Amino acid sequence: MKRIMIVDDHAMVLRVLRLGIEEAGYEVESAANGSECLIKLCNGLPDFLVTDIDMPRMSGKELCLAIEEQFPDRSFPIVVLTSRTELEHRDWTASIPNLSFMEKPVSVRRLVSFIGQSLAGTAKAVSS
Amino acid sequence: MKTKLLKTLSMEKYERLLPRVFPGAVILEIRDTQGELFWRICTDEASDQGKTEGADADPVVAWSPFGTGIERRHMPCGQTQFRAALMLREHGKIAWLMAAYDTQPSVPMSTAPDPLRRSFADANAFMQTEIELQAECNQLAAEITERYEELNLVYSTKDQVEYFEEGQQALARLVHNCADYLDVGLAALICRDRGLIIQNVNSSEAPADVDILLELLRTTIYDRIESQVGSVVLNETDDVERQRLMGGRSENVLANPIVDDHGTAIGLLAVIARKDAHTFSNGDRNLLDVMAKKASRIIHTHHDSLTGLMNRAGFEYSLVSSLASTRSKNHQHCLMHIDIDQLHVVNDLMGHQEGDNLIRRVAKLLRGVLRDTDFLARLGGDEFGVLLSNCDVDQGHTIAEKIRNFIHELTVISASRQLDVTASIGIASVNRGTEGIVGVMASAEIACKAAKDDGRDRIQVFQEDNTTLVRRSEEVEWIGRVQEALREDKFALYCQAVAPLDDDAPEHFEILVRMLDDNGEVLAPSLFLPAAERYQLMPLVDRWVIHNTLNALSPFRDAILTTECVFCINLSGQSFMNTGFLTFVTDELGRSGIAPNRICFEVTETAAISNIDEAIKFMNALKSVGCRFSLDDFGAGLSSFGYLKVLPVDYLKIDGSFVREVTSDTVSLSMVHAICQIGKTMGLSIVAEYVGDQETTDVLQKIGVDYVQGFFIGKPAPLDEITDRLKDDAQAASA
Repeated sequence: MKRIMIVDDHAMVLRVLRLGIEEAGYEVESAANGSECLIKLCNGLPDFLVTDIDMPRMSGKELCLAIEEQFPDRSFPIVVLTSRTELEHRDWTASIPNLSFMEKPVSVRRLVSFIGQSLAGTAKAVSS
Repeated sequence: MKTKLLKTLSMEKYERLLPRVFPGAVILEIRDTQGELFWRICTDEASDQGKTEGADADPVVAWSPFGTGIERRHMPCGQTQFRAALMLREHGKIAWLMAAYDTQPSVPMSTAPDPLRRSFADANAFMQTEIELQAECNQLAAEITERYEELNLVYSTKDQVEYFEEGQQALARLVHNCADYLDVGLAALICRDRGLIIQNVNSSEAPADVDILLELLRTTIYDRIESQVGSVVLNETDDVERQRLMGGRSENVLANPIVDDHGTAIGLLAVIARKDAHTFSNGDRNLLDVMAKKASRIIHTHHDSLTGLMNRAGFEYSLVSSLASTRSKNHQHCLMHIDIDQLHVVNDLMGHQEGDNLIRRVAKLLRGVLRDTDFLARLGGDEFGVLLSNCDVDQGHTIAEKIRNFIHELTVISASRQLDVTASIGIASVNRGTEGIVGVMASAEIACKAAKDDGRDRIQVFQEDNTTLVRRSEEVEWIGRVQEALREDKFALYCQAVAPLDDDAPEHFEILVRMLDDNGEVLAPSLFLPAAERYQLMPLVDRWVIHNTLNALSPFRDAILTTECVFCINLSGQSFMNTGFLTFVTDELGRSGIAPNRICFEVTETAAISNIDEAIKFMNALKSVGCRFSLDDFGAGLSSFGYLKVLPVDYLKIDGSFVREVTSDTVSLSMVHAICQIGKTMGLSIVAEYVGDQETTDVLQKIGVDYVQGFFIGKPAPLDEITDRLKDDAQAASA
């Protein structure tokens, strides 16, 4: 079973994402912020990672940069969940391969469909 | 499901809590109802003794009741194990909680079941509360997610489209979204009268025999939706309605009407799910209703609201796809341009409502004649387009004849008036050789216009070898260029001298219009004027010429007054009939400050005669402010000197064909002589054009012609060359 890591400091968001992703037949692991996620990554890498940006202790941006540094050969795709006002994040992510955006509030249906396509190697475009 | 519920427990805290609830227990474990271990903790003591297996140790040892709700067994290793079911209000038993005790040295529970029961009851209460709260939260989260997905679906499904193609894509997307979101096997959008069927089959959920289901949607369910204009929901197996609408089919159906501006059902949006896969709720119905309204909006963009037929954009799109099939499958189609003859008479005599009714009746009639595979559209006011798929021109002609006859049977009766209705039909073939839709649509339209010109109520087939039609089709190409030139000021004004043969008379100039191509090269008027004339663009061209001529001459108005020269501007017959044209001319004259008697309008004899009443009115109005008029090309048309008595003209311009031959042909000479004599008798000045040499000039002078014009006298030159000269002349005169 493919493992999906979801990172968000809002329990409600985690719950919603977890329910939708588990429903689609994936195993879900979650973390409440970047540093918790990094620790969990040391125990094994997921097949896909979904992270929020604004989080205490370690933000999504710091997490992505840390992943780039610690796991330079990473093969799992990352989806960053942004609100509409966070367009500037497109700049720092430009250099990170295999990373996509999705706008919040996220359609779990679309996220799950994107995860499916990514894992099947058929994902086409970065979601809005 | 039960394991899933169990998994919502966060066991970290139970590791600390349960040993306190079960003091003295050496093993605590939770197993699901199948006996699979979910969680276990052991005391260090038990670990040291290797007695950590709990209920795995010897499953052969049977459990026996020990007070209410608790079971007990003695293990060979000396442990006594107790277990009680973990119960949920909704789901009943979901797991077993087991506590194991070493029977030696103390067995507190065996002799005192009450504290044990309390321990199990407490543990059960904690876990039950947590699982139930988690389940409730998950349900709420799922519900919110669903509502959000609905919103997302509604927001992200586009219903504002501009181009037809975009509309088709939006409809396909909408149908796809319905199938996807509601997670049903089949979604379909059907508008029978618009030839529109869009379906989406969800492969993982697809019901059997999709074609049969689509046919039911097209027939029985469609009829029901059309008659009741409300949704149809079929969930129950023993529904009488199901029997009526679905025959023996067991699938669940939800269908909502697509309505037009007047609230009439014009189609349906439906979803069908396998009986076991999806039962349609009120929420589903409401959502589908919103989607149906979106579909209505998209459809309205490309359909005519009066007749419900496709509009021009939609028709062109259908034509593009049909054109593709002529290449890929070697198909041949037939394009018809149908025009109701003299609809304006119905509008004028009986009112626009009757006119609209007639358009609707013709639309209905056409729908009845055509096959489902044909395309029908209302292209504009009284024009319809028909694309007969897989049909050659002969068959097309037969169908056109049928249509013409049917339309002939129509009459419009209103307030004791009765009008017969006829239509003119142009036909063009759409085949491998057809280069583009613009050309073939123009061909059908040209053929239709030719049918009208030939007397209406007839059919004309466009043929490449029919030179008249081909010339018209070339003209059509020029329409776009003329319109562009008007928009982008790609015209230029030229001017040709009209010299007086009497030295004391003032000089005249004729203003000529030229078109510039993209490279600024000058194009001959014979290229674009016939097209502008035929396609009613002349009033626009005339306005451009008048506005720009007066603008250019305005700074020289004093010089014009001094030299007493006259500028002649050509006017098309269409301009007399053009609403507001007279006001435009007087306004422009007033604005320019040029004396109106320095301006002469040239009108061809043919134009003046064909709209004689309008022409006289127009001329008199402008003559009253001082303008002059010249009758152009006199002698070329159906000349009748009789008209000269009623037309208030000042000059008579003899057609160049006579002038050219005046020295070589005695008939021409006699004609010029006669025109000149009669004109003179009526007090008109005579102008001769196409004067090519001195000999001709001499002959004309002898006859008594007043003015001569032609290459020999002066070639057309840009207007500013003339105005510069004018200024110099005026300065010389005043000096």
